[in-house]
Amino acid sequence: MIIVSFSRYLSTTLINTLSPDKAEVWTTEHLNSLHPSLSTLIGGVRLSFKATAANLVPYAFGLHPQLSISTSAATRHTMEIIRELLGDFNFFLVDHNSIRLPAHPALITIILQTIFQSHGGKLQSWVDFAHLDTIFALSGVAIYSILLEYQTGIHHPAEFGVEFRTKFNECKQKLDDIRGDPVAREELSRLQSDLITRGKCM
Amino acid sequence: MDLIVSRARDEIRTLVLSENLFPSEAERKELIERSVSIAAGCVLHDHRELFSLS
Repeated sequence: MIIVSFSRYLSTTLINTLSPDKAEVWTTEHLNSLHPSLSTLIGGVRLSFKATAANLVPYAFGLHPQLSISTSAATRHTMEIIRELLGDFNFFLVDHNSIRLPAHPALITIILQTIFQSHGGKLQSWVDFAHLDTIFALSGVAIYSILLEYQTGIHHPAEFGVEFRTKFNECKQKLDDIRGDPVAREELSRLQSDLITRGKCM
Repeated sequence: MDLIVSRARDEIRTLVLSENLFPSEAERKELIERSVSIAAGCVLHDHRELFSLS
């Protein structure tokens, strides 16, 4: 006998396909025990992007962490860079042949490392490349979250949370805006295609 | 059970990336239930295939 608490999702037909001798007793307790680990995985997707960004951003943008021993000149320089990057989505878009595209090396490297290199490239098996915009926007927000940490001097060891949902949606909207121009749409398509090709060679 | 858990992990990553990267608590619960459901369906299907071949 199989007891399933998610029967509204699992059809009776499927349950009937299981042969009685192989049947496993499912209880609500079993299912509840899955929740903590699966719930952690949801945040883990964002965390994997943020962890890569945390390693890359300081070097890619020449940032110095705010420390009490930092010289005021170094701190000022870092703050100027961050202000510039946070303004007008400069952390996400760069000029590329007079077209603003998500083509900054840091952004591209975060995607390549997180999707294609992490865990021996295992992550690409669960990435649907039809959703590349999501991956680009997520990388952009990962950079944004790290820049905010530099700006405030407060490091958050966890993944970026729901408070970044708006910025994520804005990044996706930027990509939709790019597609409004035929030439820019073609450039963006080429950029994303190149990224996949390069990633699969890693 | 272990097979379903393993499969559910992959399913939830896919669902999160393709549908909702920033789920609320209610949405998170729904995503988990769907991933377990899909995983259970896949495992049952695989089992049926194996059973019919043997």
